[in-house]
Amino acid sequence: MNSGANGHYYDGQTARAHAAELRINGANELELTPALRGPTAVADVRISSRVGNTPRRIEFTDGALFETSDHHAVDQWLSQPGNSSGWIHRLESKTTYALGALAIVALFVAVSVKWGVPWSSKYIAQALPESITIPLGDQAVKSMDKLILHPTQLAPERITELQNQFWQLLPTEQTGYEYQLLFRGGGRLGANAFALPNGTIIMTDELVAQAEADEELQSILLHEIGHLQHHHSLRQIIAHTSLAVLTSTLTGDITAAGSLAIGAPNVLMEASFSRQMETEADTYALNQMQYLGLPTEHFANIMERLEFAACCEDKDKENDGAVQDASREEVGDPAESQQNTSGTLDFFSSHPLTEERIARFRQNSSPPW
Amino acid sequence: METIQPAIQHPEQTDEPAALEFEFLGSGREYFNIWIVNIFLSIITLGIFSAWAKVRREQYFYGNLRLGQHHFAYLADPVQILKGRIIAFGLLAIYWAGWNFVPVTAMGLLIIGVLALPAILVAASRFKMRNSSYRNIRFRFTASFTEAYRTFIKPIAIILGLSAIGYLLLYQIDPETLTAMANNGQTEELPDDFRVIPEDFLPTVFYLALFPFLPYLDYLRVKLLMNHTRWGNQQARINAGAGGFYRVFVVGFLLSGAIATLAMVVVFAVGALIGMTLGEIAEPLLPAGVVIAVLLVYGSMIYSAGYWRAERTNLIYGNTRVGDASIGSVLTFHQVGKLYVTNTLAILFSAGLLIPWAHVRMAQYIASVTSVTGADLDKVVMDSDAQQGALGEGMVDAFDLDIGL
Ligand SMILES: [Zn+2]
Repeated sequence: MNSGANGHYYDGQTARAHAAELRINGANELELTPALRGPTAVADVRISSRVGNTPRRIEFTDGALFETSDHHAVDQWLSQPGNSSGWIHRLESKTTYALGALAIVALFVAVSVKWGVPWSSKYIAQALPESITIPLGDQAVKSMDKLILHPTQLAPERITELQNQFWQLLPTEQTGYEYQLLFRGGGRLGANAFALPNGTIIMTDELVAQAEADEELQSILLHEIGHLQHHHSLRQIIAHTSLAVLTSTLTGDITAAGSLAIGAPNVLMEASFSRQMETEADTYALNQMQYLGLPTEHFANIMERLEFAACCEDKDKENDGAVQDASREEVGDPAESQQNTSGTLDFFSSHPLTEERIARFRQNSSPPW
Repeated sequence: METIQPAIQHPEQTDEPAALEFEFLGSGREYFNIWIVNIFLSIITLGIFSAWAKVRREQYFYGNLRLGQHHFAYLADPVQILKGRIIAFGLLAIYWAGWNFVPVTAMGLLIIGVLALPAILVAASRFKMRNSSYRNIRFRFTASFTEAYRTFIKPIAIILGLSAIGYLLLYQIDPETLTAMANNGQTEELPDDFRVIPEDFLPTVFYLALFPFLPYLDYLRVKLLMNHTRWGNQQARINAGAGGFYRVFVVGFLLSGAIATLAMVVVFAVGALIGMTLGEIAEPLLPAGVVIAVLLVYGSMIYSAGYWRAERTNLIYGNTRVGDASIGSVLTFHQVGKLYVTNTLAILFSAGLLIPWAHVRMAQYIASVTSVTGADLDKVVMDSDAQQGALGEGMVDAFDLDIGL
């Protein structure tokens, strides 16, 4: 109780340090030796909480300071009633607590990447008003037109014909979208289709050329409508943003080197996220095709043809490998789609699943997954 | 306690040594606990605790930094930092909301950022300095917003002017040529009515105009920061010209280019050698070879970044005096490069768990090669106008942004 702490006393006016000892007396006052100041009640000083083995600061109201590394003595003064700020240090100083914290943080990161972010972005995406989603999509169409896509070469009659078919495919209930179908030359994106957050679906001339029946194109349009009905592109944008915010808030001291490692979970999540979305869009297309009486083989047929075109006909194309692995698609962010969609085909964004997906549409009567 | 003078003493007499060494006393093991526990607390409080976590991390690094017999201290109030973060989130929300009505283009965002930068620099430096203390005397940053804008107005005007000229020149080129330039390397034919609009090039033109001024801007920033920093009644002064910054920049640039090229040459030579000696048998080794090659080239680039860090730090601190004291800073390229590479590898292969260890190692190294000479610290007194200044700075209290010095 009457143990003193050795340290330095600073008067608050100069940088001079005085070697001194501070101890507590019976009246709960701190007494300095040598007596550079009178006794001060413990309640009238501010004692810094402990961080590792860094010195403790006992700050007097006039700006003077006593600094000591004798944590034992300081903690005794603090054990007087009215002080209990050392709980963080107690957590920090026990290895078991640190390991417990580590386990919970790891669990939290895993859960939020796997479920939390996708789940919350789904609900945010549904709640976002049109005043946000429509400009987002318009901007995306504009950027893609500028940077990647070309004007369509299709005959106006053909466009009208396909657009009329498109109107028949749209959901009858209120959707929150103003659906429209646009045709563009795909440029380096080739045979492809995109669903943008404003309800615009873009189909490339190359895709139209690959189709042997209009029902095949309709099945693809239904798949894209499925993406829109599930707000997939919005969800992906929100997921990216929230993950970035999450990591930077939690790990405030990540430097350039740290951010390398931090990037990895983002990428991992992106891949599985997309695969799940494809399944959702497929389910929607499958159900709607059955409902509308369209034979579901059409989807399987065009997928097989596109996959064959990508893997076998263009073997010498330098980005062949990227075609099947690229998991990003239909994202409204123009900068990202510009970088990542080179060669992406919506219909088999994850290669191992392509056969599975085809098989699903081959079995006409298979129940929805 | 040996070097501390007795309580009553004449100011002329001092037994502080002439040269004071910096020392960092923290350990990776100890900091790991603090780091992970604070992340944990930030999570369960939905990010609110992150302000306290930041203060504790800073306290750990300041408090373990010892110069002579005395420790530095970080004194920021977490509540102020929390307020700052809430304001930052609010601004972001306003930006998102406003984007609906007035979509800001990439160029517009760039201009807003450039214009806001001096103010952010001043606000953040004030906050950081005022909350840093050594021997119970706080540091202060005394530059006004006006001074910051006066410092940067000329180079910013020149850069924007050059961008405008470049943009106008670009406009003279006919869109056909521009389109061809934009699609350089693209083999397929483009439709006749497809064009690139010159606006797309605006940010590129800006960066091109900015590039040659980067060392000069860095110099202006460092000069502004150093020459307006006070510790008590001691004024800091930097005595380095823009030339030094250009030298570090150019040499660093050439060096990283040379090292990366060397790494690639080695990779190709070794690859070719293996390919020639083993032939077909070597084919399964190819993916592993590619990974090693990429690691080697990236590693060499990270390593050469050590030159920039070491030489720039030496240039800045080696030429800075605080009052009568001068600072010695003798970082070496090889040591910093080695730390960068090993820290990066450690962080990557530990899934981030060695981040605290990496930070501590860097702090230990920098402290071990930094010193102060000619200081008569006992004579240092608090600025008479320090209290008054603190009141005026209350406005920007909320501004805590991590801008490295
Ligand atoms: Zn899809």
